[in-house]
Amino acid sequence: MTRPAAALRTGAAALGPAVRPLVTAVAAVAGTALLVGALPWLSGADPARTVLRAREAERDVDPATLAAVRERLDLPADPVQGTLGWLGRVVRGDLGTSWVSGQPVAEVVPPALGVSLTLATTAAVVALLLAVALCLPALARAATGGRPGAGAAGVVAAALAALPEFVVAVVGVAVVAVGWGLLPTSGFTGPEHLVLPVLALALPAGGLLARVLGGAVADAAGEAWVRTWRAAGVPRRTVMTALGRRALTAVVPQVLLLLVGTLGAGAVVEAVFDLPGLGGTALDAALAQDLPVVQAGVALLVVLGLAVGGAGVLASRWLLGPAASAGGLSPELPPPGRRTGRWAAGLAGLLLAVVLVGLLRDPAAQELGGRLAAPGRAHPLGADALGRDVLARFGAGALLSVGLALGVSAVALVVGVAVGLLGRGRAGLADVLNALPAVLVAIAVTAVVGPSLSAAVLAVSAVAWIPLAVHTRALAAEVRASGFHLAARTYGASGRRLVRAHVLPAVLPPVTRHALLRVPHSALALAGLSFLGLGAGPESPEWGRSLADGVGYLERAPWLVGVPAAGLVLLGVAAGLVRTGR
Amino acid sequence: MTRPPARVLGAVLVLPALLAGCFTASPEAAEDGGARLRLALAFPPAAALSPFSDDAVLTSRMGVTETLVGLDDAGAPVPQLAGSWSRPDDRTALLELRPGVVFQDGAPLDAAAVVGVLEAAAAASPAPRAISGVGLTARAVDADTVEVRTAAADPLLVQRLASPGLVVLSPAAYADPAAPDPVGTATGPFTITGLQGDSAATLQANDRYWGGLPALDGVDVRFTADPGARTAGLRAGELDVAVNLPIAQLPSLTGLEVLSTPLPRLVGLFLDTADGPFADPGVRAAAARAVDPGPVVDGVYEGEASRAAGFFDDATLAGAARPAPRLPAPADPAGAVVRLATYSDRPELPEAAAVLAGQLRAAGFTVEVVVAEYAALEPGLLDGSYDAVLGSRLYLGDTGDPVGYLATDLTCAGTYNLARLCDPAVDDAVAAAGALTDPAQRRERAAAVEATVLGTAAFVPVLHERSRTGHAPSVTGLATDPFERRLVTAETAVGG
Amino acid sequence: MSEVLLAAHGLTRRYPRTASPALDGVGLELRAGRRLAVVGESGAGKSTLTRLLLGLERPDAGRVTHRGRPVVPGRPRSLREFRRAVQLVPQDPGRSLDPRMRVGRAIAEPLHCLRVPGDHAARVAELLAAVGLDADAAGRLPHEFSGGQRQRIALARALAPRPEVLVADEPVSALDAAVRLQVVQLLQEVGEAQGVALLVVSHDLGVVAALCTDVLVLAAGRVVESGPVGQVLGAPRSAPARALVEAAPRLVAS
Repeated sequence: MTRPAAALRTGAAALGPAVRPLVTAVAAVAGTALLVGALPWLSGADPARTVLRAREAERDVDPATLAAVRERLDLPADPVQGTLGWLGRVVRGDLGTSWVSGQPVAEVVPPALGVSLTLATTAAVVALLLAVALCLPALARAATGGRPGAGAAGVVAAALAALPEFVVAVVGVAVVAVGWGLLPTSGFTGPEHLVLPVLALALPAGGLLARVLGGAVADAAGEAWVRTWRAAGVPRRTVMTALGRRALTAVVPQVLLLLVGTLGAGAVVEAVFDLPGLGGTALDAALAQDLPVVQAGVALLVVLGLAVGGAGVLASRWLLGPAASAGGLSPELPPPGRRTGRWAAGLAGLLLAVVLVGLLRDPAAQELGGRLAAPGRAHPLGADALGRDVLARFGAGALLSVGLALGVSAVALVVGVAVGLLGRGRAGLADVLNALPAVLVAIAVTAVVGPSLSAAVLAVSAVAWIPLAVHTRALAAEVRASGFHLAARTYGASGRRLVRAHVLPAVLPPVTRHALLRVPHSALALAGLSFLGLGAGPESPEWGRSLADGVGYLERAPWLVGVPAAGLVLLGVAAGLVRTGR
Repeated sequence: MTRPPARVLGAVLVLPALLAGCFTASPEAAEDGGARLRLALAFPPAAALSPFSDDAVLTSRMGVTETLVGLDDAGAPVPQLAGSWSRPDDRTALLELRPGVVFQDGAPLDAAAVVGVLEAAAAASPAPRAISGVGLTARAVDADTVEVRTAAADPLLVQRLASPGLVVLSPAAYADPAAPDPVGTATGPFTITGLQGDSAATLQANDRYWGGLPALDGVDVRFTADPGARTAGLRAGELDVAVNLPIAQLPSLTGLEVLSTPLPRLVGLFLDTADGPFADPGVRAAAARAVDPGPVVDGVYEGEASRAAGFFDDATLAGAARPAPRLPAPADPAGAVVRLATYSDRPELPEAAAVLAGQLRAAGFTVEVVVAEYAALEPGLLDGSYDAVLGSRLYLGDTGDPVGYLATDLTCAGTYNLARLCDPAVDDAVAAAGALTDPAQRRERAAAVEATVLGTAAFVPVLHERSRTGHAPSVTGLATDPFERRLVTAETAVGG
Repeated sequence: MSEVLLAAHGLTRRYPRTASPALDGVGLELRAGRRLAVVGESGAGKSTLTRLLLGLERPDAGRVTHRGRPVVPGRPRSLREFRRAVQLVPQDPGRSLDPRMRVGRAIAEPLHCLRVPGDHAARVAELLAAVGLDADAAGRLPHEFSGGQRQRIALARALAPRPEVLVADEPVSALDAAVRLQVVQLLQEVGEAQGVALLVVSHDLGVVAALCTDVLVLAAGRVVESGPVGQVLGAPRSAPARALVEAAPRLVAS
């Protein structure tokens, strides 16, 4: 190797670790700012009109008014120029002024981000603690050599994971705040305002994390050192701690994903509790096309997302410890778990039976005289706000909800595994996309494709793969740190072969389980976009839709919320119990 | 191995407590408790409480700002900051200001201040809706008299001055003429003493108020956009008054009272007359025949609305004769495909749309319902993307005049013509009605034009809405204003 | 003198954030039919040397050659010749086999990756026999075997492409004493019967004395002594070598 080339390479290598993350961050910020800046051009909606509408909801719009607004806004000529101009101002520290309120963006976005950060961090910590608590029985069993597996705590976790956040929020308000008067209903002026929103976010997330952690514990329980420690008489608590630390490597990136994702995506919970957070601010600004606010919010979220993602990678590496260096890990085949397949089949059968009974009835017959009728002879599961039979709508909505959710989850699995395997253990596209509020992605997709069911599926799939990719990335890192991976390199295995023969078989079972756990979430995500006109349509009996429509009647007709929620929980528990191999 | 994890765990648990500094500032505690009202309004300020936006309605309802004149239930002007007025000619109005009024910052209310207010409003870009395009100018005749002129003859000149966009603020509020600041510069019974972003505001009683000392010591206002959260706050006892409650949750308001005022807000089906299945008047007549407002009013709205016979309710027409419309002969829909759109911002509309869709289907139409938030729906509403729009419209604009609504919504040049109606007969009738100067005559003519428009079957009336303001039983003295401009007044009190 | 199969000249490797280099100017030669041991205490640089010799990492200075041709870590295709000729017997039998891959497939994997022609199934059976395992082991998973058996499987895998050189990284240190002897004997047979040159990295002088013909002593990343086994272990000249020998008195006597 020639001297100058070697010197250049060493120089570049020394600079590399610092430059690459910086370049990624700048590129991500510029890219998302450009995307946001291009929204009005993509959707064809005049920003002057949307801004005016945000300031004066009932104003009739004539060309003179629009011209006056446009002149005040000083709109850029095209997205590229606009983004460059914005970047130039940001570098100088000027975040601009909101087009709608005229306030400096620096007074609007950072306080909202602070609120969201408090909420998201607390929720992430509580979710992690909940996950660990739910996994303690399984951890204890693994440490004493029992058969690993879900157990009752695992079922509880899977049920929690399937609960929609806004249902927990609204039930929490109705029962704890209004009914018992223990906590405030809304606002954000002190720690007591944190409790209900954090519970609403942390209960479902904690359940999901508990299942992922449980899977990781079961996988780690098969490693040789566990047997050795047990045989050597190491106290159970020490084994449990070590096993927990080993299993956390897969979960820590998920917790951080949750943290960042909640920052921008908590709009629904923020609305229920009237929290002045970034999710609601970004959503309102995006709908009004108040681009300075959206760009600033998105840029902050992207930078935070990359930073936190990078921290997650580092945290994983730290948790793995010295074993992460070449050849140190010894992933073993996890011991066979409990036979839960029969339970899964049983629950699925129960669900199917109810759906079939529902399909025999008429879901569209409106009967306003029987509005909100309680469960009884005429309507075994009650009637909705238009007197339609809830059981019939449950059945009619099943195919659409479950089918769409499974479809989205399948796409998410394929894309997630592919992206996770490609990444080389650095924060990248997944972290950027996770930081973006999902609603913003949906708005962008709608702007390009137009409102329809396929746009909704596209929008949901565009973010559903992220947790799976991050999970894959963490697992693939473990495999790449193992001895047989090193050995395979010495006998000439190509990158593709390494992935196909060694990484994939280790990654697919846990990630497939994870994807199945997220099936109810996909169903809910589709319904969550309905306010944009995306999704299955307002008269559709789709479960997520029924849930959203029924929330307003929670106390008068709890079955409107209870039935679809029970369906989702059953679906989630059944999916979580499916055996995906070792 | 035991110490580092414990340290990490401790740090992780302490982190949220450290972030406790990230809570929003709580409203400053009142000086001495006293009788304070806790109020929740329905939307947060969009433009830092500038009167040149919907925030003017917020400050007006909070009892902070006032206009030169007000409107009574029938839409006639009543004195507020102007004690009396006269119309020397059809382009001019002379207003006598009420003596002894002082702004909340101490400056006196005089003609110069009022002229400054009106000129700033006229120069705003865009100008407030009420004076947009009329070429308003103002001049101080003497210390207490203001002359207001428009470019063309205007029978509604005085009513325009009742618009919330024309609230009278002290000259100190116009540091930025495009964004006047009402904090401490208005004339109402309450002064804004604190603003917490766009979540809350603190008001103190203005003891120099011209209408007498307010019964309350202050008001704590929350801007809560979610109707469920407002209702929950009221039920939990955290609020004394909450506006715009959803009908679905009214039965759960045990022990609370609901003020219900008829609103000049119509809900009905606008049928696209320009193209699609409803271009044929016979098909439109078939749809009008099929729609029965009864189930919507009694079922969806649970009786909290009134059936509509036309655009305007009886209170607006104030007894003017309502000629019966003559619909064309109905034609057979023959499965015509109809896209019916409505917005989800008002929670009852999607349900009403489902009921109406069912009625149309029973009559032989094929209906596809589209629901989205208004902001997402708006681009398609006016360009004919939808064959029918279930819309909710305020038909008495800022000026309380029904004819203005007809011009905006139903003429060829109208800026919000959801029905895309372009009928020269209607245009002529509206223009003729607009030229009348006597309010009673205008109303009669409006009733006649309404019959003409209903005869084209471009609009199928469904119902008129009512406002729903929930309050604790101990609260008295809330204003019941059909224009939803006044709520908290100097007489409002929270009883013992 | 037989030809030089694997050689290293002036190998230097530095890791970031460490004061002294892991390897500093290390050179060695492995000739056909010889069995070279690389010994030293932990931290002497033995694992680094192994990785460089196998072309898994690039040295900061110096070069590794195979039959005179330089070995440049890079794409698998360019290194195929080298990899067919030089194979690794990894240290920890528990870690070097993919727990999800059946033994037969694991042994045949180098044949696939290195495009070795011929009947792979027959070769697998042949190798299993050569290392003393039953033919039906091919259908079982690694966790069904003991540590010693797994090391034999790893050895079988390494022998599959008929290499000229076997680099054995601490081949028996993870095994218990009884099994250790068996594996050492196996390595000896393989070395003699199949004409494979051995490079054994170890800290265990007993194994070195039993198995190897030449020794290289590493200390703090440098070569401090090299030569025939009897000479270095019997009469060590450098201080580190002496320390090593003194630390294992019983074994030298055998």
